[in-house]
Amino acid sequence: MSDPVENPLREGLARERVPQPCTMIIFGASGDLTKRKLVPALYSLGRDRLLPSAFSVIGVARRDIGDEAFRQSMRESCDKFARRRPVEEALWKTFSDGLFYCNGTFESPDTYTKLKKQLDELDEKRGTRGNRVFYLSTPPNEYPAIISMLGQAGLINRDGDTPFTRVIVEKPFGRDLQSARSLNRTVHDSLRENQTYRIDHYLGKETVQNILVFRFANGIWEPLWNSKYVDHVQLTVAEAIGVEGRGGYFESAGIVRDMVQNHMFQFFCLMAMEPPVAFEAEAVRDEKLKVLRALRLLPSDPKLVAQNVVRGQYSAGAVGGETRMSYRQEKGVAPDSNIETYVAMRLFIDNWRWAGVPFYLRAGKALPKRVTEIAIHFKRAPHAIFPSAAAEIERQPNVLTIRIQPDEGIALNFFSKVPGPTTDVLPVPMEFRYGTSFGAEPPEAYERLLLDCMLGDGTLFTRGDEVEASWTFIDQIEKAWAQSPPTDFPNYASGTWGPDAAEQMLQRDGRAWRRL
Amino acid sequence: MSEAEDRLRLFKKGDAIEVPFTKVESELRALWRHAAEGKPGEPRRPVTRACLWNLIVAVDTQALVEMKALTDHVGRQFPARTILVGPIETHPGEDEGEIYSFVQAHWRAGEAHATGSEQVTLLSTGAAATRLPSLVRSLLVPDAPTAMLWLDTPTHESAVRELTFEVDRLIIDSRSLEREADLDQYDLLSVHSPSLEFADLAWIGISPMRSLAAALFDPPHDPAQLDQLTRVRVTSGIAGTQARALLMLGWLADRLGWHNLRRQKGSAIARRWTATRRHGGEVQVELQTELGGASHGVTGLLLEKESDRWSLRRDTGAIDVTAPGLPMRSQPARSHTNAELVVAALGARGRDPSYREGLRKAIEFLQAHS
Repeated sequence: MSDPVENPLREGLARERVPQPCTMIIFGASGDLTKRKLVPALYSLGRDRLLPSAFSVIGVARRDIGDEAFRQSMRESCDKFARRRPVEEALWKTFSDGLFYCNGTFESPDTYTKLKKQLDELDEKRGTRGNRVFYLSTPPNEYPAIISMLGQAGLINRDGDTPFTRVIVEKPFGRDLQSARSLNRTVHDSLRENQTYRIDHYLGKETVQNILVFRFANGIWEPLWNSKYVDHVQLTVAEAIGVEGRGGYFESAGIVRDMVQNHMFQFFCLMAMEPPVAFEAEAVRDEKLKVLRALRLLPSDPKLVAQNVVRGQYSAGAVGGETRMSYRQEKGVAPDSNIETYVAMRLFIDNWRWAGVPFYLRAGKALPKRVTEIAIHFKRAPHAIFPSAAAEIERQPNVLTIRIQPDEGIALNFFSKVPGPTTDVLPVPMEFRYGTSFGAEPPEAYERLLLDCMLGDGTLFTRGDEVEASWTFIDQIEKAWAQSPPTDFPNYASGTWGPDAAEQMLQRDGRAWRRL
Repeated sequence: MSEAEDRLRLFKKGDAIEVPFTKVESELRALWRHAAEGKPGEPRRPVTRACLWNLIVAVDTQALVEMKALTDHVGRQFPARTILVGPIETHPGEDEGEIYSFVQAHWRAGEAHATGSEQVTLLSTGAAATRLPSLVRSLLVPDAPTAMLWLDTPTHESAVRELTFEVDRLIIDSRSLEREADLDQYDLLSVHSPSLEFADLAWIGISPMRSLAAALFDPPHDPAQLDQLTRVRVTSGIAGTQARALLMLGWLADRLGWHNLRRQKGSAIARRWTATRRHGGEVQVELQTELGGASHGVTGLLLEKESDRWSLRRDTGAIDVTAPGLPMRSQPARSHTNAELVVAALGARGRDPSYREGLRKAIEFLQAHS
């Protein structure tokens, strides 16, 4: 077969990748994610001329409303949440002409029969050519039924890519290794792995993607990126908010399942992985998987686990000057809940590059401020030739900080001589900040990820074996904790940096958490 | 208030301060240092002196105020060392001439600290203009790329023309040419500096139209249809210099391999050509002027292949897109300010290798004989 003819008008234009015409079907269309993120992201893509020339959206949900009411509701969402506001009337007219609604329960075959009919009509009327992206924005327990029903209704083209069928699955993908494996089996009964897009919106953030650019587009860092020069690495995901009305959900998850297994492990992998052979889905995901597989397993004794993993739960306190109730007082939370809202852990990657380098991860709610960052602490100079500055140099080594949010950017701390007759030194930061360096406003994470899925690019999505590898590690923690329930919860006050045991974990290694 | 304090106050406000041209760097260093020190008794407030580009801006007496306003806007959005440079009117008895220099900061305030970039203005009288290029060279920030913004016709007589051979990117605006024939001045420059990147604000301004036109033939639509077009019409919403419409035609002609351009009989509001298509056959080409609607350089594009028609139609707020077999859709389209276009020109959109060829083809349209 001859290669398709290239579009000669494309050369030199900013966008190189163009999605094919398609319809996106959102299950859970009346939910918060659809209103706050998905439809506003699609509208913004339209605003930036990044949607396919023929495009439709069908919202599927139980509520009995029609197309017009759905459009009205989505208009209100875009008015509130779209990145570019106010909504432009001419664009909205075009965009909303492609919005449709299909009501029905996710368990009923009738819903899928109706949906199939609607899709066929839209293909005819709007030129979407049978290409479909299904977005499962529903509670996770609905995923198996929806995926099976889609298969049974003939809505999945498993055999080829013309027309294409892709399914985006929201996190959490399972709640332990067993459930993740079971869900993977259900998915693979109906879909090929490369039709499955497990979304983690952290990977859509510009700064997370920039970890790869920073590491692999610059020649100067890679020689330093190993155990010879790196003393240790700290990863922090701190949130100032509590569970904010999501107490019911959080009771079944905890911070490890909610934050560490997915978001945090993803950027941990990007930070630690070997260079992929190309910026392509399989190459990048292969390298991430190798990191997860090289994670040193925790000891089986819960007491020894506690030396490497610290859990916490917030009590009442004040964050940013505002009083905050304790976790156990939150709506939907049991008054004697033992669910963790904070975790700190010490990990080792047993491979050639990182042998002996501790990675300290911490994630928590009701902490003093919202910060997500990776800090690479380099080893000290091997010999101190400035005696008057030795203490200062000992106290604050060179640190490279990749700030993911807020104030996205990168900073390198190094020592400089203080002007004057003595050889005093002070650490000074060399900073790059997205906000001040680039005039352009970065797109929302969901914009990038929805576009990538329409383009069939899975690089920024998680593969099934990655998910299972991360659950393999997390399961050890959950198992140890189940054997040894906490006796000191709540053990940190809202507005502080977590329990004392987290500080002590680093102190035992002669280190300290960064003060952020 | 001492003179030094007064200068610091002006600097922090973003106002211009006159300094001797031999001391521009040292004065700037001192001002930045004092800006970070704060007042006695107050804590130090860190400031970041940022620069992603050197941006040389060619000015003259007439354009000085306008260009100053433009670079003030650009400077606040994009950290660059901006150097406005050019001769001003010479008074009798100023044969030797003088160089006057001013410095100022463009500030972007952050929560914890302020980030600023700087602007230097160098104006000369009389023969001192010949010394300007050497002064500019001495003020370029090392290791940062250099762009030159030259919105006038780049004439041979200009004192700053020699700088165009030393910069990485030349930002021009063919919309401002007095005569369409002057487009070949850019071509001449491009011949002399093969590695120079051209960022034409007119070209960047038509990129939404080019992008939408390209999207009409993205997969699954067959781009081979482009080689079978029989008629192409570009509509301009303005009279006078129609650089944008000509560049649009030049772009199509280059990308689609049209050759053997022949001028056809037309009228004041409809210029016509015939071209031979890449694989043979002819295409009728028209540049139509249609005033009264959106006053943009390209308000419409019509492509025809037998009975199939693809069209882009711009009104004041949107571009309507129609194509065979697809529902009509609208895309928002707003006019961009010059400052926005310059910021875009300093980004990835300012690096478009297809511009030179599009320009050459646009000139071919102008020079075509019947």
